[in-house]
Amino acid sequence: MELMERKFFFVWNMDKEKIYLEEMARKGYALTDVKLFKYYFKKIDPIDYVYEFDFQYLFSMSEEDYLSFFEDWELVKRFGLWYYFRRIRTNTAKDSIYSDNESKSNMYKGILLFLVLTGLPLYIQLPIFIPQFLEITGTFADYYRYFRYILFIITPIHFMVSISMLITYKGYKKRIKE
Amino acid sequence: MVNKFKKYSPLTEATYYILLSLHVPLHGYGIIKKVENMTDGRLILAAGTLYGAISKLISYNLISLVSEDVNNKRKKEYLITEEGIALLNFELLRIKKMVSNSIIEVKKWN
Repeated sequence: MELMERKFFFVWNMDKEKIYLEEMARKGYALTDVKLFKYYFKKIDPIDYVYEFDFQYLFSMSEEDYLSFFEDWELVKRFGLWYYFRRIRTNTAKDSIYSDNESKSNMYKGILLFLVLTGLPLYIQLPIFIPQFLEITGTFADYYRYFRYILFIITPIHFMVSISMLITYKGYKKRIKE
Repeated sequence: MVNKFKKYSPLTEATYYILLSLHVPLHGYGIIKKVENMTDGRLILAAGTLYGAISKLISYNLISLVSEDVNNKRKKEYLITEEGIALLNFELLRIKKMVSNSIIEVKKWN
């Protein structure tokens, strides 16, 4: 039996997403696929899974080499740059894919880099929100107007995510020093 | 060379054991298992943490990728470099000194 649930988890409530997926497994639903805000499950016997997410660009290594570190884990799905792993809970150190604050902070560094790269084209467009720039003429005026509405929604969200990720990153950085 | 080692020293326990395990070529999960065995299950290297550490050690030229095995193309293996061995020896001297100092001082307590 297949089940699809819509859930709005964002990067800043990753922990809630984990808890949700683990609860579903205990109820007998194993994750099979992830799409934007959509989670697909199949019915199984209830099981105590632990889910972990990793964010990776894989600049220097192939995906196979990367996955060769995760033989203890089952890769459920690669969603964009996110890797969804799970394994049966052991209640030991084996239940997490990061064992120190430094590597944890490195993951957030990767997320921040991604946000900077996607943010640049976004913030360059900011002057269009200044009133005198609002006058649009020309062939594609309607398209530009539509484009602005979208930007008006996306840019603040992007800004909020960036700030929250920066705070999380700083938090882990601080814990390394302590 | 020694100055360079001073920059890396003291190695974290995890890094030390990664280097220590790589005098024979091992792939990612092989390192996790070997370190777990060497430490009687005490030191568990997390997969993501190890992946990051390996990438870093390669960029520092302390370990290197072994050319791919013909029989098992899927898994890349890693091996300690000359420089890595020298660093390990540098660290070993430091640790030996630590142990001998400890033995001397602890005797004084009793």
